[in-house]
Amino acid sequence: MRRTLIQALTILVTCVVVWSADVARAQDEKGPGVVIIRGATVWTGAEQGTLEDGMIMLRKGKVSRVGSGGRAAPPMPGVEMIDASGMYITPGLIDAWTMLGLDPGGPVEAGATQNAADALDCFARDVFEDARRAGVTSLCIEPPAISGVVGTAVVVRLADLSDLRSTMTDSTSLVARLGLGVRGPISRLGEIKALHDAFEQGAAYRESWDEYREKLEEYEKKLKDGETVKLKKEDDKPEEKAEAKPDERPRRGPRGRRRGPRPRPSNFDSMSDSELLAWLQDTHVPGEDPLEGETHGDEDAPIAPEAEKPAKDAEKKDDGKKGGKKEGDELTKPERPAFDANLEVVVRALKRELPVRFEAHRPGDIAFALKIISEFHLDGTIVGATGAYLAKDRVVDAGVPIVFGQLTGAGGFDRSHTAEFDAEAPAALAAVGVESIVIGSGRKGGNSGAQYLAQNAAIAVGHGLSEDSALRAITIDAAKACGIDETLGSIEQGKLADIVIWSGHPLAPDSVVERVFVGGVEVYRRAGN
Amino acid sequence: MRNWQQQLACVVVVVAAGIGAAGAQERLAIRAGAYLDAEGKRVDNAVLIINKGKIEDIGSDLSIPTGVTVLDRSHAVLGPGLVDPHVSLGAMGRTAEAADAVERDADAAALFNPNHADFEKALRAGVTTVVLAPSETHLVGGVTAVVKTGGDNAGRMLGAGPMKLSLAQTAFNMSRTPTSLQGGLAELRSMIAEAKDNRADDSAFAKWARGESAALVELSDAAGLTALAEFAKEQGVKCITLHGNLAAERLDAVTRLGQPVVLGTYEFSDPRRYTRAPAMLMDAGVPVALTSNAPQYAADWLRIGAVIEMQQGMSRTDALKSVTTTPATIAGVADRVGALAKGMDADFVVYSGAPLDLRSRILEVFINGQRVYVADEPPAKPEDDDA
Repeated sequence: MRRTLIQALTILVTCVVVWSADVARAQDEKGPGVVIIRGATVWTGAEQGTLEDGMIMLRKGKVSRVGSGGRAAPPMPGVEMIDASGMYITPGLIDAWTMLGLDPGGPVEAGATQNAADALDCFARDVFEDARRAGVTSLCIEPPAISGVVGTAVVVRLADLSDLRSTMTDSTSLVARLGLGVRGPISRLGEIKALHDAFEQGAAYRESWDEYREKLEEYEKKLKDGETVKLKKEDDKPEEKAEAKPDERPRRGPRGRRRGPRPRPSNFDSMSDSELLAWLQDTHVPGEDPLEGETHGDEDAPIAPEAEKPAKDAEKKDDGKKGGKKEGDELTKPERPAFDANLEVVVRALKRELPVRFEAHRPGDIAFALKIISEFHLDGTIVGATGAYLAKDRVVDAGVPIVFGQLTGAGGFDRSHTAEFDAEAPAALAAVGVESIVIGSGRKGGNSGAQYLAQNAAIAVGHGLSEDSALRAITIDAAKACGIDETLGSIEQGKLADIVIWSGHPLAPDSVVERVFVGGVEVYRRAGN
Repeated sequence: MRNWQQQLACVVVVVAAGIGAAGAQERLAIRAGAYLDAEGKRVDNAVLIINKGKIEDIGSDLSIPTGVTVLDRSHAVLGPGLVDPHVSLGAMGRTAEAADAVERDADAAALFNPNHADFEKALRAGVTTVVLAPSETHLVGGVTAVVKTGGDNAGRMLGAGPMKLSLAQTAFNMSRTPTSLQGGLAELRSMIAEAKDNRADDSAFAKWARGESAALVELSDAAGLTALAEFAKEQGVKCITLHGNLAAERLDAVTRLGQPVVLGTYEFSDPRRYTRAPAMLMDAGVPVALTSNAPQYAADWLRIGAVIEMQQGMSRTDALKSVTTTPATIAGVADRVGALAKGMDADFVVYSGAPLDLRSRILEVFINGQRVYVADEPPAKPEDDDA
């Protein structure tokens, strides 16, 4: 007994010493002060599980320590000590699917270059405040259009609400929708085909550009080799050498296109019309105005006037010597494919640089979305997913995250896609082994259910999901689905200090949020605290 | 053929076994971990004794008479069946009569379709009694009907509820009179005068006109609420407002009406200026009943609405009242449903935990002492089954 007591004391003293050292170091630093929250039940969402009598240190905007034994911790000078005995602490909640704060006015276009950030209502501060006072600290906001590839979603971290742009993270994903009806192509078949086409066109576009770049590289290489040979020969001609130093050869644009006005012959001004015509025909390169130099193509490459003259001349001479051999034909510049901003975004998705979220509800639509994900090897997620439990096997096999919205039949909005809805869907999918189950607040413009995200997760518990899975669904698993789990979603040393203190269990009906920290800074405190 | 008959027999037996657990006997006792009493207080070690569909006795650790079948629900909590004061279950799209704005003698009982699937959904949501109401597209929509959502058809119709009127914008259009709020109130004024004059008229409308009963009055804006408060005072009629979501901003008008109010549907997406209204009204002494407006919204929103209110600061007791006793009072059946107490109908819900905690699963629903809904086993991982 006595021995255990001594052991416990030793551990405690060690803890205090270690933590105090941290504090001492932190006191000299700038930025938010050091905060220690102690005594609460801490659901970490990480390996440490749930800690009773927890102790969390927030420092420099991050979680610097997580442990137990908070109540015994002595006060430390210069540190804000928060006694949260009897309360609960969770990571800041992450609403992985919402349309909170979108400007409710007017129709919206669909297209890969559309960005939800542009649709944010700049006066929507109050709805974000409501979400934050309910413990939500990050949201993935999707663009609102209905059908096809509709645009990119943004992840907003609710730090400074006076400047919403400043709260956006780098994480984005492409959003595609199908089966939502009204404003898409007339038939279901047409809609499915259009969505497939969007990715197929992207793939073809990517291929044409890859091919072009490959050819261009080859072209450049040949051009360069040719020049080296020629320049060596030209070393014998001192008068020309003086005019153009080899080191000053014109630089080329990133895609290797020759730049700068074409050199004119010395007798240019005294040429007769017929001589001029002959010269023009002789030197004509398609797509260029011989009198004005380069006018088409890239604007990003520097222009080096006159400098190319010897190389060009030599090249021509060289070609002449070879008696118009085929090499000259091979050296025609490969044709540049047309640029398409929308397809550029799709290509990023095809390269898996950009995750793709498919909103689909009916089992058939979900199956089709999964088919696209596998066919084009996308980093895919299924969002909405009200009927996913009816396509359980496919969903398990695909291994993609499933993001649910509001778990009770929606009103107001077109309900046809939620007709088969069952609040047991999250539990049903968990039961068959779907690993990443996420619960967001779903599609509702302007206001969304973000302010009751925890209660939406509680509904899943009432329909068979474990409490732990439900909490994961609104924290760490949500962070994974949004691509921000490196820094957010759980309470772990080194992660950003987005923390919520609850009066009771976060899923209980009468629990309220006492305090919210974002980046170690308190951004909300319940009145009377 | 014979095979078919055998199958039918099997089905009959299975169905009988399903319903019969409670229904077959006159008396039945249930032990539960706890129950919520009429005040919404949690009473542990609950014993509920049912006799002929009514609650013979309920309390903590009651002794159970010998020979009574006992159901053991000691892991569960019993709560009163929920009451929804404004639905059109099984009658979606059939509650409007386009030709006329006034349907004084229409009776919503005619809309009652006891076998409709909507009722099963309401049961799953823990709702056992509802007020079937005509739509808001009529200045005077008719009489509502109070029905139970399950059980033997004979016991399901409780009777007529309050009159349903509407001052919502959709009650007025240019294809028939009245076309405006002002015209609507003028028409009501003359109808009331007529009813007061004709003492022999004992219709529901006439009773309301004479101030003998209250009517549900649907609103869609604050203008309607303010006008109604003046009108009710002038005419001496009792008006229970419905859907006055901005009631919190017209507290004076609501308190002047001196009647309970019905609010909802409250969804997760509703802004706080709507959802804070019930707690504010309760604080001002106005009883509030919530509604789901099912099936336009899922019936589950009734219970979720109560939780939304708790999140907005309403006490557990008040939140429970808003979905049980207050709507039962509005429906005129508070002596039969809305609370677990001696002599009341044995309508109750078996929850896996606290009734107004969304983490609690609705396991079973009883109406008139009969088990009318049993939840499937929750989906569970195969490993959990082995354990």
